[in-house]
Amino acid sequence: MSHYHARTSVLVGMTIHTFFDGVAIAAGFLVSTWLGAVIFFAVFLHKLPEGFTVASVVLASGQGKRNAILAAGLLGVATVAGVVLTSSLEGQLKYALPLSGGVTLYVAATDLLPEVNREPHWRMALLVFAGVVSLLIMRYLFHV
Amino acid sequence: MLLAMGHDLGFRTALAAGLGLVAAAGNLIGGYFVVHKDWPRKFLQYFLALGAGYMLAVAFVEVIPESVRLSGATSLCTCLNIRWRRIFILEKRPTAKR
Repeated sequence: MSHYHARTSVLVGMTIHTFFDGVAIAAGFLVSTWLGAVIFFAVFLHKLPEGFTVASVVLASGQGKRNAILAAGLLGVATVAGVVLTSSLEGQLKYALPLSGGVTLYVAATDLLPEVNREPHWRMALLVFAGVVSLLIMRYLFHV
Repeated sequence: MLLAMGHDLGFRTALAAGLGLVAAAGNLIGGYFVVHKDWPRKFLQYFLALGAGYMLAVAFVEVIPESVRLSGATSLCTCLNIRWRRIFILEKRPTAKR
């Protein structure tokens, strides 16, 4: 696959992905402040790596630094578009929320975990468990 | 507690928009660090690991039970089927041809 096609497919795939990040945040807030906040943290934790990945791919395909930043910015625009669209479709919450559940599950299980498993160090496994436990602690402290 | 309080829809929509912008800024910051090459890559792996565990917990403990409460068992089909089939094909097909 050429650099151009690799770059295009990564950019299209990640733009769709980040659009659904926005859908997930807005769907959460349509239900409650609590659900919106926990989904926001889930999304935010992988936002830096997303921008990092897409900018790396654009640089590796021979494009300049400006295009790398623009590609990362495109992901941000897609996220905001997902928030705006879902907020305006409040009546469709019964579809948006299960969809955002699928997005969250899919991204964690098929994108993040394989990446984490490349690093054999025990510290990585511990951090995955820390992620799980941090939600439970947040529930205990803030969710009445 | 702020998170436990019931807020009206207008407030929650504004909060979603604001935090959507913060999330979007996260993408830009990630891109910025690549361009300026002063970011220890190890930290990204740590973010990914923490994010993976946290997202799995959010999906199983919060979002899926809330979806089932909201729209019944059919929401499980939406959760599992649409994402895993359609988006899997969209995102993975180009790399499978290599």
